[in-house]
Amino acid sequence: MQVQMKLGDMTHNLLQVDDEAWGLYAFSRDILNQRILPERKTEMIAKAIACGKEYAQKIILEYGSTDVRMIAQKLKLKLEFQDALMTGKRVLFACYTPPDKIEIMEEPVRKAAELIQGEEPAIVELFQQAVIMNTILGHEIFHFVEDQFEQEIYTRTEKILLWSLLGYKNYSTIRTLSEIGAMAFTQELNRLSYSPFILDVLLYYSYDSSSAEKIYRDVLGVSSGRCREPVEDY
Amino acid sequence: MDVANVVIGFIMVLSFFGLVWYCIKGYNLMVGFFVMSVLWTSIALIGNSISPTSVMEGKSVIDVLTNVFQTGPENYGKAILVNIFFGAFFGRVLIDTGIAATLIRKVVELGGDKPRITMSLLCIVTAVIFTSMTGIGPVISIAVIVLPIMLSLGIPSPIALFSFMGSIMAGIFGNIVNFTQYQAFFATANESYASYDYNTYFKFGIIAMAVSLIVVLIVANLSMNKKISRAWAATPDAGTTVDAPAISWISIILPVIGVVVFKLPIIFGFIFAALFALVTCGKLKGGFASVCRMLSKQFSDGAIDVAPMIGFLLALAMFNNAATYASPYFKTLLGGAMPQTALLLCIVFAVLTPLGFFRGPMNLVGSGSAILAVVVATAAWPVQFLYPLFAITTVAPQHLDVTQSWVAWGFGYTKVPAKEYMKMSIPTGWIIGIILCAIVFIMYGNLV
Repeated sequence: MQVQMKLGDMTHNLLQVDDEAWGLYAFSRDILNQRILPERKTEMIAKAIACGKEYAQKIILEYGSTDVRMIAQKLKLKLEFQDALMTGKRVLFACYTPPDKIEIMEEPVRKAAELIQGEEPAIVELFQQAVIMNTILGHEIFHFVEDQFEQEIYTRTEKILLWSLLGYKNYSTIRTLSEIGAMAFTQELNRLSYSPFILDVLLYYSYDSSSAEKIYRDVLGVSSGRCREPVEDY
Repeated sequence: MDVANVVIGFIMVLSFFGLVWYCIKGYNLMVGFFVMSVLWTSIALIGNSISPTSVMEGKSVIDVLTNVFQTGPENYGKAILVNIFFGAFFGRVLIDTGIAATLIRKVVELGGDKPRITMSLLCIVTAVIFTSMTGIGPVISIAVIVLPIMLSLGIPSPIALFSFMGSIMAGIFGNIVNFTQYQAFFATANESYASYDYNTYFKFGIIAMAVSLIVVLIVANLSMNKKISRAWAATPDAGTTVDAPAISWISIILPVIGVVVFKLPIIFGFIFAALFALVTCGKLKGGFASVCRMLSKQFSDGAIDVAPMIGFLLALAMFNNAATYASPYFKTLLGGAMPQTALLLCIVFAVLTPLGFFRGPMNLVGSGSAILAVVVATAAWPVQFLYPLFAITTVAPQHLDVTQSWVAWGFGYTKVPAKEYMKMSIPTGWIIGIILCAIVFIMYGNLV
């Protein structure tokens, strides 16, 4: 029987994972994952990260602050806090509903912060409840920003061809790019030294530690290049 | 009008409303219908001893008890159980081979990151899948694939749940197992109805499926915001399962094709389609003993999927036969109010479709079998006309209803409040009922 890993050990290892690996992990959850070639994914991840950072800089410049709560206020976003929402094995952390509603699930944040308390001080420092909350808020603000610039922002303009029939071509945006962009945006805005994707594992852990470990192993698998997924014909 | 019959009729009507209340409260249906069978049989026997009725003429108490508690479940078993078991086995094969999951993933890739289009495609493929599959096991197996996809596309959970359950409901209109199940009620109510088969029903079944699906999709789309939400969520499922080969996909509709085109018996159709799926997916490997073990497991898993439903259906079969003894009393009370023309009956069914919710009096797998007995007793309605009417008020409300086992499961899974869901499901069931009753009148009204 496999021994369950401790949260501290997982966190320590996940802090070493690079942005590209996190991007590939995000792609592995996308409905169109098998329709995109690995080289194209790498290119898209880099562009989505650059896009997130660029828009974070624009926001910082425009509002003269990195305080996400203040920025949310200035953008007239309605912030609501809810309990956890678990659908099967899917745990929801936050949600942006156009035009201006952001819901943040407090319970996973609180539980994660409590769990982290038992770890070494350096990790506790990185994942304080307020830090996690601001990270999530920053992520959701990016989706609002995307909506304002949807005609020009990379995460909404990048598309792939799904199929063509008699001259009609069906293109689709890639939802994962929005998520990667949002992570880069909030990382930049909150001056984080790690990818916010790490919260997928930390916030999930208090609900189902073995499933959290599965996510962790998926991330490490992608990171070490062991995870090779099939890609369809184009 | 015999006073005793009127009094007994009132007692039965009261107990009938008691059953509706019981169903609405969500108590165990198998027990409820068994208690009702005992109650109505006892009341009918007492009534017959006061004022003899034609339905009990020449029958002893033992004959009546035999008919309700022995012949009812026995006949039902002969006609239904075998089909349900083989249908459930086929459903398990579709799940285990990954065919159903592959089809879902493929349509998602066709639609892409367009929630409305992808939701519509998912609903279409779900409806097609459920023309052959049945039971809570297969529903859950499909739901845990479809619902997370819809949620990841930003579709609000009440709409995701509603559109998924609605598309199952649409598929059930064409479902061969469900047809056989409901047809047994008709065969019991009137022996001449026994000849009515799936092929005769098929044309209406497909029209009803298409109409229901369209209505469900319209309601779901209208309920959605113009812009779709974006969620930060985590899941351990990476969705890297291997796809089933394209040739195997056809097995989803093979049972229906077998029955409609080649006039195959349905059980053979299920076995053939299951074997085709297993062969094309390369699952019949590893030696004879291993294949036997796998087939045996799939059959027993399928049986477990439908086991709770079987218990309920057997109790329902008792109630159905008890209802035939209750019908003279209902006829005494309601006979004068029963419509006598096709148009009026269609209008009544359209208006009363919501009474099919909560296992109500218009629902054959609820308390509706007594109404069927009364309707059959009041006039010689052709089964081609009467069956679709009852199918409408049974299938549409029942498979959208909170008393449906998989809908109840869906509430737990998605945490959608029942009220949110019912805001969409009840109007949808009613709209479908009105449209389909009009179609029945156009298609079969001239037969009356």
